[in-house]
Amino acid sequence: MSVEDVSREPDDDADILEAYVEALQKGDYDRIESLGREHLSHAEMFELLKQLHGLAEPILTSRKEIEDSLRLPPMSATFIQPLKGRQSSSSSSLSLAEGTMFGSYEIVRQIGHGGMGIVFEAIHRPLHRRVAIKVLRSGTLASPDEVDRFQREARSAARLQHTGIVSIHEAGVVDGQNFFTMDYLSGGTLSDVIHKGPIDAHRAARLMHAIACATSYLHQQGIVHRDLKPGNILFDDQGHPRVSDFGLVKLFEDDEINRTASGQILGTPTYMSPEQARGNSRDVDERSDVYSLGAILYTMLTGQPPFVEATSFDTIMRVLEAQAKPPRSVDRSVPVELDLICMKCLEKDPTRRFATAEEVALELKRFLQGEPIQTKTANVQQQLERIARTYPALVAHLVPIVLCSISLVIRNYGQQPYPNFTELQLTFFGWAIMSFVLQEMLYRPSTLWTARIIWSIADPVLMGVMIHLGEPPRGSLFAGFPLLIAASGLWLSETIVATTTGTCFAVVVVLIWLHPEDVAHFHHFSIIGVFILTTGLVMGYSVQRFRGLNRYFEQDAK
Amino acid sequence: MSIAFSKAREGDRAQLDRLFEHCRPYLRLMAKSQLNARLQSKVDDSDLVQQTMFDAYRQWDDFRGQRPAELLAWLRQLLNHNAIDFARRYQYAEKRQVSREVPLAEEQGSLGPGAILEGFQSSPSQKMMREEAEVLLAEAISELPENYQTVIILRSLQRLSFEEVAEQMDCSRGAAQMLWARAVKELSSRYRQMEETRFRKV
Repeated sequence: MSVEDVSREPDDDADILEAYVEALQKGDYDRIESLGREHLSHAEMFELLKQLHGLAEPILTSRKEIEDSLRLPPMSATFIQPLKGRQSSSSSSLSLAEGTMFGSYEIVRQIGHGGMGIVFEAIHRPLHRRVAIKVLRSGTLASPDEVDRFQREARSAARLQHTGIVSIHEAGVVDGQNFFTMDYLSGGTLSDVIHKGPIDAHRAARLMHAIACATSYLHQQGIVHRDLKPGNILFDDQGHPRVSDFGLVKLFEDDEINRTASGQILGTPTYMSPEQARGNSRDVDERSDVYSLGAILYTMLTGQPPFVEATSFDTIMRVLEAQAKPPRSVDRSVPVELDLICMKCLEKDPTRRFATAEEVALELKRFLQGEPIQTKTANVQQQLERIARTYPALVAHLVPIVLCSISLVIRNYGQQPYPNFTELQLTFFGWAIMSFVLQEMLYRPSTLWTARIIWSIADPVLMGVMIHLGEPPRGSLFAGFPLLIAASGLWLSETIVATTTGTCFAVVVVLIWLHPEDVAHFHHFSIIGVFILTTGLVMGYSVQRFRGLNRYFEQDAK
Repeated sequence: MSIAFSKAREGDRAQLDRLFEHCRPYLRLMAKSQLNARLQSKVDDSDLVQQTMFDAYRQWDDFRGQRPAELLAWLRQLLNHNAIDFARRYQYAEKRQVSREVPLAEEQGSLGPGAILEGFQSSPSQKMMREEAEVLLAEAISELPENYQTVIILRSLQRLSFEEVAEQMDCSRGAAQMLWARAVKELSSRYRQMEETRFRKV
């Protein structure tokens, strides 16, 4: 390592190179630019220094890891961030007024803000080019975690070129604030379009075809978007959709250091696949994007997302458990083909979806060209599953009603005619009809609560009527009431549990008043009452605990 | 590189050998730059590269990447894991020694938080730099004379100041600066030559 024969003659070149490397390492973009202009003859060496600088990036990040691992005991040297403990100080607001300079960009106006940063329309002064510039909100106070995510977003996006995606131009730092610039698109977002109502089926198919092609390109580049939603689909001047915001992109090469491994749910629950909602990032792959494509198509066709709930927690519950109503049952004008494609994308089980975004694009192309599509109608089992998932309350009512009704029919033909047989069967029939109506009401936000309350009162009352009409001894039939209360817990509402419990109690009192002969001892009545009230309390408590957790996660999501 | 890559991906072991050999200078440079002065005296960077190559052969079937860039990222990751392992092993060995002397040089290699943040700043041309160019540049560096290599690694890759570089290389600040400038010029001309011949071949 000897440094022989280095003479001390003044060397301008050395000073220029040194100035350049210092500007690079400080991130002083203005200086880099001015040096580049002043010393055109050094362009080649500047380029080399830039490349060396870029080469050092992975080295520095990995060196940091190595040094961190030396500071920490080996076991705690994990890359997983705890769920809580996110920096609240990082929300320091960033405001850039119109006309201010940000590096070599002149800010025109703020056009939006997302989870990671604020987006401005800006003009690149030297080139007079209009761009969108995304600035990391937390500025100098950002945790390394955040800086890391931001930079990964820029890095993974910068190498991508496709007509269906928003290109990234430059990434860097000004005054400690990370930013990157991308195409400025003036056509608004798909979300703006959807707000105006459903989109004509053929136009929706054309748009979705373009979006699926772009997504397929991302997949071929080893990138899963993970946050496809209407707000991330921008339109260019010609009205072509372009996919943007690779904020949650997980590169496959990052598999080992899985930065979302903390179980943080990242993304928009409305368009999120069940496996993402479950928070298990290991299961998230291209097919999760296929789900999101389906959810976007659904929204375009029907004007509403597959699941709309008041809180994101409730939405996640629905994403995990419920089946969206097929687009055709929301709007009969939706073509069957699009309905099938949409529902196949929205399958809970990834293996039942289209395997790739490309397949979605191909199917849509077939539809647009008037060719028969390859997606098959679901088989009987799948359809039954779908119905059960789409109308859980209805199915939960119809199945026992039909079974009880059949058992009465058998009983009626077996021995002497059953008293009140016709009345009982009519009540069953009425109960079933009511269930259909109430299920339909459940799907309208305006009548949702009315439906729940009616259901929670009607069920015990109808059950009481039937016990009243039935044969003695009636005592054992009272077991149905605690069952109703337990089932009412599924609505996850204390009010509903309380209503059901109260109604059950009242119905039992009336039944005993009508048929005192069925309760031999007064203490039997008290025991039944205690059972009913206790079941109500237990269910109410469970629901309350669940709601508490819900609130906790909601706060956390902020 | 891309041809060798896709062939190796299809299971051609000979092409895999070629591919890994091709990446070796790159890995070596990464290894050299990651180990700071303190570790470099204890851990041989060629051991680190050797171990990484060994792991890469063994785990090749698990590699899922589809593009050369992912291969480099994967190799770097393996290298990191090994470097962390080596560093820990060294740290334990050090703890067992009773000596509590902290050599002055220890702090030299470490980076302040500012330096880490600076590491994220670079222009898009580097972000989009082709993986081929990275490998080629590493190879060009490996062919430089020893002292040129050292000064480039210290100043441009580890991003130490010239004062620190001078201290490590045991010379004056001015001499370190001159040496670095010459190294950069030399590298620039060699790199250009290599680029011309290599890209014509590939």
